[in-house]
Amino acid sequence: MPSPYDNKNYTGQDLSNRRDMDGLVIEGLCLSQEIPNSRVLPPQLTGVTFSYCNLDNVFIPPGNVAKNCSTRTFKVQNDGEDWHVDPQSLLPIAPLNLEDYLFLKLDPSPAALPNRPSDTSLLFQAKMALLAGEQDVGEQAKAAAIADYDAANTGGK
Amino acid sequence: MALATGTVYEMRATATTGNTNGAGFNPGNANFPTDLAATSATGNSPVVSSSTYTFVAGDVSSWVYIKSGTNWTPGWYQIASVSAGAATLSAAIGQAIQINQAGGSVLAAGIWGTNTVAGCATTGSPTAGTFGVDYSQQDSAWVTKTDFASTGSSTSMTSATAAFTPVSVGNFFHLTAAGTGSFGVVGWYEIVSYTNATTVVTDRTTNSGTAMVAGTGSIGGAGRWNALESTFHSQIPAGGQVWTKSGSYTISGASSGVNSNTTAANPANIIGYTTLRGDACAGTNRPLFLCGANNLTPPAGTNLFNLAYTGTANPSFNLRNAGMAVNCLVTNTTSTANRVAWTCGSNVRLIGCEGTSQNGPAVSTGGPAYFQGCYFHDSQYGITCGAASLVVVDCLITSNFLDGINYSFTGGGVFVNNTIYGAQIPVGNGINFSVTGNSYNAAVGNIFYGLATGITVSTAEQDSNFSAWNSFFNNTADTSKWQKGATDLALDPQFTAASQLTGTTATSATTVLTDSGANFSTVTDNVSYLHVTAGTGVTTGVYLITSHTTTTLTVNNTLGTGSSVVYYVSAGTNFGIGTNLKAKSFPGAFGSSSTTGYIDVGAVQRQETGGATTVAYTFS
Repeated sequence: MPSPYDNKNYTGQDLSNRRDMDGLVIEGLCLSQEIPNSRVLPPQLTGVTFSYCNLDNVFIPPGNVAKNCSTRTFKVQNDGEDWHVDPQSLLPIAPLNLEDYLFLKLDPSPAALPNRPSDTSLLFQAKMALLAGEQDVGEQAKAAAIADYDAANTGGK
Repeated sequence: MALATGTVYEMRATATTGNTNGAGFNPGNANFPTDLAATSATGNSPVVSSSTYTFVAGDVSSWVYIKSGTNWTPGWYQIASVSAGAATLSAAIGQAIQINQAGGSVLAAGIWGTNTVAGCATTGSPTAGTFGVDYSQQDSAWVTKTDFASTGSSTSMTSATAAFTPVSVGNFFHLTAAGTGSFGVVGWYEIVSYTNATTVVTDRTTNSGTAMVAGTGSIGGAGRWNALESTFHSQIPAGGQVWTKSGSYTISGASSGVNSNTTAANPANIIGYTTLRGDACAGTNRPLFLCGANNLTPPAGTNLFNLAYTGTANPSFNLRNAGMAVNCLVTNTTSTANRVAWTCGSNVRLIGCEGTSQNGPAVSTGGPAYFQGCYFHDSQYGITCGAASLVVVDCLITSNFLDGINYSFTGGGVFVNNTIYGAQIPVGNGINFSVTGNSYNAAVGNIFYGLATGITVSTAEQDSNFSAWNSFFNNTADTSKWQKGATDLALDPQFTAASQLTGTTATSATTVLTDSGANFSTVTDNVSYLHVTAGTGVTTGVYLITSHTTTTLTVNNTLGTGSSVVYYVSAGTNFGIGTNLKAKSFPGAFGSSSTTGYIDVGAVQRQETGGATTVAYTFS
């Protein structure tokens, strides 16, 4: 039985006043937030199964289930990009777009973050520079960079 | 090994979750049955049968694909019913899907559309038709099993329970779990040929060299853009077409854009449609990708048609080198500054597209780019470009609070017949040539209206720049260090509806702005934008208005608790012009020929006679 929230776009919106969600199976909802642990679902919400939803940065009240959903906690950092952060301390862990950092040879460690907010994202600047002269060979280079990273992090080499 | 060129995919928002279905069909398969026969073949409801394959009730709503045969009309025909092993097809005008009818070959790259003549053949009782059954244009898989197997490196695949048929061929098998020992290779495969009810041959082996046992997979059924996005992109063959049906798709993760099959010369196409492939698909009918914080980057050499994307990442959407987008929309709704809606690689083309980034550039290109008939609005910048050969033609670039176009390369920009509008109370620059020595640019036939400066050059005036037939009106300054041409104008474009609501004493709380003295009745929800320029406690920026009353505006991002809020709302978005600029642009007379053109200034041409006799064409 489809729910009224299936495949709906509530990016950045607040559904905490909704009273028609309890017990629903909600599929494909996009409720992505930009502030960690946003309490944008009804505080008393119960019995909801979220399936293939984007619940990034959304605090999910106990008594509800998220299956195959995106439930990342992230926050914009001083380099202008979104980073995974620890849900409690909100300290940065790694960039959301880790693959791009690796490909563009930017340091993806929190220690490399600028001390002050930068007006323009270094990652974005690097991307634009790449786009300006991009060749198809970049495909293989990117795949190789990602493979190297994967191998390094799985004990492959 | 890549899948077959010309593979056709189907994506639906209502398909099985997790993108687990087969999703594809190869109309070029060489092993289709060749014994299709029909009665009443020229009518709305042909009845087809085959001695090789007995149609069953489960085939209803699947599509018969007629590839070829004497007197047959190639195309896809949906099965309306099945009786006594024969299928009745839906073949009335507008019900079948065909390609390039005028050109002949159904597989030639051509125009998709629905049939304009009823029937599936030109004679009533054709025989010997080559056909398949396309199970990809449906929400659920034709079959899902957990006993798929293949011996080491073999392309034969078996299942004791799948009950393969001769019309399984051409359909895609999606192996979703590698089975015992994980020797299967998860991915999409074409069923190339049929051996018997328990064995088929796939386009490549389904295992890693060691036998696959108890693999899980599905045959048929549409895919769904809600999982495996990068993986799916990476396997699309050159020339692959991904038909995406109207609906909303919540994306599961960033798309990294790696595909070694597609190139600029042999791109893949992702095409939105409303009800049947090739039909009109514009506005809210376009498939909408809900990206959240995920950046989408389809592989280089991907063309996009009739799609919409919204997200908060930087950028929301990345169109890579040699890509093309037609009739596509990208919005970035982030509250974080300087994030971009579209970014573009080298030699991209945006045609009839739209972009908005509420606190950053609508489009930012790192290489040569061509934009025509686009609408970039309510952003920090309409366009930013730091590369040679930026060509902007017939675009509507409005309500961008810093620059309509920021061109930060040393020269070579071409700007023809655009309407660049700031606000009724001037704001921002029209074109900002923002680097030293910016030269050999051309601005012809543009409207510059409601801008702090119409055209500004960062350093000394450059004699090599060319300016003609532009109209400057209601600007604080028309130009700075830009030499107007003798034919430039200063006429009111008489916009049909470009109004502005302003206030300086509003208050804000959470997502609501309140101005007791305002009348917001002309605001259009989810179209009009609130621009907050100053105030105490409020976050300045651009906000999409999602609902309103006479004195309040509810917006899509948090304003904060504020007072003395200074704001404006661009309430009108009809930039049609009056008669002042009628036929005042270029070109007029063409040299020694006896030909004269009559082009209006700006992006919007006048509808002179109105009604049905003068129509506007758009991409759909």
